[in-house]
Amino acid sequence: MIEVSELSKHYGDVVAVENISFKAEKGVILGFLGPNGAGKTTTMRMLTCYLPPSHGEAKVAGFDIVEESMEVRKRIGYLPEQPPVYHDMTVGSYLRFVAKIKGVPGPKLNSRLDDTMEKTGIAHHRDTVIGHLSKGYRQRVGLAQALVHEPEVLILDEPTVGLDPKQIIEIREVIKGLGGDHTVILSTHILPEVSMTCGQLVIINNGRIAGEGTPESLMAQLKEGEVLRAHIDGPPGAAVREMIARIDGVLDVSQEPGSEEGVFLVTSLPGQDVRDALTRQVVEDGFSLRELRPLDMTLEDIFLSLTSEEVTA
Amino acid sequence: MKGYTTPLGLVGAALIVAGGLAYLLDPESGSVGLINLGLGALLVVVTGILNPDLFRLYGRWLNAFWGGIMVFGIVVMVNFLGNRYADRIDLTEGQLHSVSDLAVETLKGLDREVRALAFMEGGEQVELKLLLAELETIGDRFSYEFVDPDRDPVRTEDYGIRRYNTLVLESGDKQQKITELKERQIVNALLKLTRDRQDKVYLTVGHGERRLGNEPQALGVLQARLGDIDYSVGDSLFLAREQEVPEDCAVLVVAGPRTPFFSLEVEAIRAYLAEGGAVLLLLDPLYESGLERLLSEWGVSLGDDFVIDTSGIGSLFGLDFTTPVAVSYGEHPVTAKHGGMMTFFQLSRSVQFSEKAGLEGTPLVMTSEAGWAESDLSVLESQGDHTVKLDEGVDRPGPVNLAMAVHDAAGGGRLVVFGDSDFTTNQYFDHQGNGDLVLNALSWLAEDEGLISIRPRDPGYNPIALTESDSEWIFWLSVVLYPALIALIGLMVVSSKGRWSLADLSAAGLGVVISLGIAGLVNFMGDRYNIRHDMTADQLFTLSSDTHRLIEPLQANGQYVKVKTFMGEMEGLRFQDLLEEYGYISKNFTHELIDPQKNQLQVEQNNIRERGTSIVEVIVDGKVHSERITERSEEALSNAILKALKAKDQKAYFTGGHGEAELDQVDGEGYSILKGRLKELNFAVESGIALTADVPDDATLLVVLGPKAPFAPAEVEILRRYLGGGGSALLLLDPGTATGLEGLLDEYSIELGQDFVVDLSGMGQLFGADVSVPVVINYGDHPITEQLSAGTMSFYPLVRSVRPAAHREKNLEIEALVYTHKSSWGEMDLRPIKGEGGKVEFDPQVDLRGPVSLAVAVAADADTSMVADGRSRLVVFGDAGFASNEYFSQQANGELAVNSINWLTEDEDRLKIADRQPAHNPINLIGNQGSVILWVSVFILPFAVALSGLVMVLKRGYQTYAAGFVSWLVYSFLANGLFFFVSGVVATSEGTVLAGESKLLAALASVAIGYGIHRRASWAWLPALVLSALCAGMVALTIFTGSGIGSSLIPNETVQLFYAAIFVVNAAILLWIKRVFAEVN
Amino acid sequence: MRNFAAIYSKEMRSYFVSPVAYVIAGVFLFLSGYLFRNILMQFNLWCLQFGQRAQQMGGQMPALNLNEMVVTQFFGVMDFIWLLVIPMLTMRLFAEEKKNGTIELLMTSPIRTVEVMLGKFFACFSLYSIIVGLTLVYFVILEAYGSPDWGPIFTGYMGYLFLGATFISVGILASALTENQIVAVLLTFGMLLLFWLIDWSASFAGPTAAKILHYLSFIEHLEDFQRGVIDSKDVIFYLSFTFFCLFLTTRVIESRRWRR
Repeated sequence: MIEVSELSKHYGDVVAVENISFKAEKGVILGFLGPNGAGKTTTMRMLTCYLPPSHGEAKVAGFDIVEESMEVRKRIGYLPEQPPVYHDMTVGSYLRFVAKIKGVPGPKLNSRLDDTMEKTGIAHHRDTVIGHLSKGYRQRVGLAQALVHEPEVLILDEPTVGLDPKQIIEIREVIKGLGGDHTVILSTHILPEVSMTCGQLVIINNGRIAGEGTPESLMAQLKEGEVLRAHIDGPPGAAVREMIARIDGVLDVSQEPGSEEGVFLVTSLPGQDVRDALTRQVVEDGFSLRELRPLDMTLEDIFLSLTSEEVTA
Repeated sequence: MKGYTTPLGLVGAALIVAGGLAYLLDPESGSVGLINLGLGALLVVVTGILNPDLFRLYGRWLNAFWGGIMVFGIVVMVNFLGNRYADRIDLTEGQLHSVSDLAVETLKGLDREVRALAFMEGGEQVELKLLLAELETIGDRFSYEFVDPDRDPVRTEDYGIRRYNTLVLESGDKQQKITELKERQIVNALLKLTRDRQDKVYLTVGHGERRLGNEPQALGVLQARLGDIDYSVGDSLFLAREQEVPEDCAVLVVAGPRTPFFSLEVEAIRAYLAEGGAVLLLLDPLYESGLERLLSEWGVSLGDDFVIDTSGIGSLFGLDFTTPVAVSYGEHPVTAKHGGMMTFFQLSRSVQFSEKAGLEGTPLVMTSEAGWAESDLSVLESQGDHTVKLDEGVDRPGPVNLAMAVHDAAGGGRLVVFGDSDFTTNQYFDHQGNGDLVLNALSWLAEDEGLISIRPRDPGYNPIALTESDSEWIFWLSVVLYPALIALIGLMVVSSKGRWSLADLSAAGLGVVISLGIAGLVNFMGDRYNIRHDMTADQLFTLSSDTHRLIEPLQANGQYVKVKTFMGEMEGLRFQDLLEEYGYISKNFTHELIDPQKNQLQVEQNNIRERGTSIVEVIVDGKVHSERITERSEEALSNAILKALKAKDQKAYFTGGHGEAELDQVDGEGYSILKGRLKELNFAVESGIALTADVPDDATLLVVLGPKAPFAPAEVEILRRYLGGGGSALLLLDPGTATGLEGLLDEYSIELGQDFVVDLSGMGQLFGADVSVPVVINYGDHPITEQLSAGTMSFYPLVRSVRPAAHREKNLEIEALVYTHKSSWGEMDLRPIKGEGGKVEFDPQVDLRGPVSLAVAVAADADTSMVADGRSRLVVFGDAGFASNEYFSQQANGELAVNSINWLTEDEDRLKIADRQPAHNPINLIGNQGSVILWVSVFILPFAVALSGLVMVLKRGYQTYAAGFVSWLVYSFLANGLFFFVSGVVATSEGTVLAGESKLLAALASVAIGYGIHRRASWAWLPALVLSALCAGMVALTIFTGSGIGSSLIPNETVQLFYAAIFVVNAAILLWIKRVFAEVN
Repeated sequence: MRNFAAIYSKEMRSYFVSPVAYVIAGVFLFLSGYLFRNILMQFNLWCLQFGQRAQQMGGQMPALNLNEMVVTQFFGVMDFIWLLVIPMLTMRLFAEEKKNGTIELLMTSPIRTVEVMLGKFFACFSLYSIIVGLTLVYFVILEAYGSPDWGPIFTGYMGYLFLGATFISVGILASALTENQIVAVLLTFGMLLLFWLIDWSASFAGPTAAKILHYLSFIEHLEDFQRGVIDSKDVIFYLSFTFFCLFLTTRVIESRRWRR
């Protein structure tokens, strides 16, 4: 559905994006991860034909973003960082206007409007002036304008920024619901959000792609070993730490940073499960095992490891 | 209980303030104010007792209040003091605004009251006001007042003010008038006014000089004027007896001596001059004054001649050539102010100056080039041959110098010599610049050294003179480089952030240039091939097809037309529109507007006589041909252009050999002016041709000018053939001589009277003309006379009758041009005019009863028997004298002569173009129609639009706008409270007890409601509604009934309307936002 | 064409919804009403005065032409007010879009920049025409009390529409150049005033330069319209000027793409 090959953008000698390539299949929700100023917005603006690329090319739904930009724009719904709403218009009239300029044919207009407002939960605000809406609802109107013409591709630039937790969850539900019939590119720097909604990830750092693939594949790539989180209590001063270290297959034991005494991170060789050995040992030494569960590599870890030092994908 | 104490306290405070203010306003009847004050104080004390903690709560308000009063008081005090002891520091370079030290001493030393009256146009002039105010602060005995002459004609008359912007300094019975309103002149006048030293002017007697008196030739007016500026004139100085000039003589005047001075007297004058005396000599031509040797010692030599002036400017004032008119003046205080003003000297001699050590001589008055000093004095004798010619070598060519000022810097002596004395006599004193000239000469001669010493006060002359290159680089710098630099910096800053790459910029630049090019090209083509549609009903801006046919081919055949119109910018706007339309038809037509005031030179060069004259210059293959029109219409302009375009050079032949008048003769009887006018009408003039052979066929006009001897039959035959061939002739035949043309004229149905016309209508008396000079005011209906405006006169010295004959050749157009009054007749008995006695009285059988026709115009076209092809025209006047120099410029004489010539030489195809003037459709609004328009256009329409906007906007957001309206209500009620409070204070200060209190109460109620609305208290809603209705109703009542208490509150009708409108709106708003009040509590 | 209509109706609605349009219309009508009444009263006064004098002078009276003295005069005075009002109308057209980011919506929707610009231009022009149209009332009043010549009135209004179009095109260009509305107003006002006074410097310039400067001045071209004459050269001037500014506006908006 979206193919990007060696897309790059320079402003004079400033390089915003440096030959980015990735693919997104139809119906996938692609997470676009990267620190601020990494070139996320510039890439999105190129995909939505707002900015012409310096070189390289990209195809959306089979149309080239430079040559057939009109066709591309028909098939794209774009929600920029700041929802592009007119504060003096009412929600209904605004969406009607957007539908018209996005090319929604006349007869289907009203049904689309009702349907989109329903979907984004702003039907009851049809006649309110957008200026009077709260930030959350304005964001919903922004989302509605991206959906109103049923675009094949949805590009959302940090859709949940500035919202309260309840609203974030609602927006996430809506985005998750879009998967399947829409291809969605979701750019954000809130990692839990990505892990919950995105099927595919692209991590971008100062203009270059630092990592690409599903969350799992990325973790697999980067994992040095299995990591267990063990919470063992014993009499004070007992050498719990040495005990764990002695279990074979355990490479390293370290106190979990920031949590209370007795919680350890046990790293073992990849593919080797030391949990049984550990439980047996704890019982033998008369300690009590509060909690033991495997720790997947969190996205933060992936993100930090990818963006902290140069890792070639 | 506690709740009610606050309002009580407030009422008390309000009463205190109201009472205090009322007392301040009008202490006498302030008793009511004091009562209020006391009442208020009582209330405040009561609230204090009832609710002590009230003061604590509002304590900080109170001292803030008092604090405010204190500060206000201080500010007022500071201002008061600042105003009283103001000190001025003048930083300008020439100390422009501070007064010179001499002025300060004079003002301080004033020993008597001096009052300055400034008669200024429009009653005020800031610069002068500042100066006079300055003088007043210094001298406490000096006061000033501004008077607007238009509004106070009585006083203007009393002080004999003749011109705007005159300042009169008055002290006791003495007065000083000055027109140059600068500090130096004012202080001068002040000095003259207050110093009792009276300058004395002596006139020498004993040599036939001009006396002081009131007959035209005497100097009475001069004496009076000198009296005004404090010079007393004594004429008893008989030098031969006194043998020396008196000590207190400021200026010695020698006015037109007829016999020479004795050597003793000359010695006295020489001595006087040597000690620094001042002498004014007015020496007429033809007389020996005996002072020649003294003059030569002072480098001055008098010409033994008299000055002739043929510039014709004199003719504007009816002067002949023996009265030179001075046009240009020397650089000297005496003539400093005479630029552009005329002075003329009846019979003056020339005055020369040859450099002498220690003496500065400056020529004062010069004639134009067209004058010269004629040494052949015999001309002036009565019977001399009057022709005057400038003969080289003998006469001195123009410009001739008529007066000289000499100043002996070392000894201090001053001498002014004029070559004429008449210009100072009563008859000529008040003409143009004559009077001022002699007064200036005298004041320069008597100039008191002390006066001139004041530091120059005018800001000094520092003009900027930009050379061509200076203005060039200033333009490039300020308009191009500097902004470009800023733009460049801006661009660099912007592009440095990488937003604009060079490629993008150049692409954008290219785009702009191309599009600019296209737009420029389109405009250029649009400008060149433009079509104009005139949508006005009267087709004001469309020229006739004739004009189009005339102007369009100009470009094709390479002809150029240039029109110069002499009138101001704001005159003849209609004619200016027409000229522009001509310009649109063809690029070869250009026109220029010259304002006569602004460029005197051009007026003189083209000797323009009337405003609105246009000169049409046509350049046809190198040759320039000019026509002149005074009428400002399309017809006149197009015809002038047509005539100029087809200009074959017209030739006018004057017959000779029968004692006809001389064209070049310049004196009264000559016709030089007529000849000049012919030249202006592009006629080549050839005079004195004998009718021996046929009239040359290039003749466009033949003129017979007052023949004294009859024409021979052969000559008459030549004339008949000339006329038969389509020629045109102008015959001016004086009475009393046989002309030999009677037969020919009879063929053209013209009867030439052998009489002379006597006019007893008495109109001649106006011009001092006797009965033999008929005065004409009614004219025939003919192109020659139709343009003469109603009531203009023309008169004919010794004229015979010329009448259409009884028999009439078929289809011959004949028209009498000029009729005398009915109480005149054609006197057949010619003896009186031949000087052989005889009595002039009407003899019914013989003489021709008036009104008598004096001139006839005949047009004989091809269809008459006399003319073979084309058409011939003939104009016969019964007199030649009316067109001579002496009479030419009198009333309509000249115009008649010129019109006849124009009609005679008119082309066949003269254009007839109807003149399109904007139709006259005034409007008249009566009674209150005017105010209806006021209401509709100024109030209702905008109000309706604004209101509809309001409704639309309200619909949108009830919540936010409601808040807006609440604040509007609060403000309006508070303002209303203040308004009532003020009117209450005024009422109490006037002592009306009840009205004052009720107004104060209303004020408090209004403020309370405002407060209530502010807190959206539900109790506040109803009273607010009631108060609004009350106010609106009360005021509406006064508007419609014209009375009621509303009128006492708000006098002005419009303000009342506004007041009512506001409260109607308030009521509406209250109704609309009722929910706001309900909701809150 | 549909996109143009969408932009046009959106702009028109936003004009009529916000108080800006009404305030401007109200102020303008108040000023023009005041001017009209004074000019009319002045003329009426002259008619009365000349009326009396006409009796004394035996009917010979200078032509008191209602058109020349009222209609042309009224148009002559009005154009300056527009110089002050139009910048206010045009300032929000693009500047506001950029400020609240809606420009991205327009640029990423399948509509061409020309359509956006034209939609906005004609919306502003329609509002301007409505406000100018409201002044027709004065001439209806005039018709009631006198008989004005509708020729010059028609051309006067035509002149105004052309002038308005040119002013608005300059305003739109300024609005496209900057995000900040205040700068847009000042820019517009500066440019309009420049072209208003440009012929003043003609008297110092050389002959050809003077001719060009005179040609560039806005009010020179208005004179013919006010007098009742339509000259193709003036029409071309106004139209080409408007075209040029609108072309520049589209270029400037397009250039958004080159920059971040």
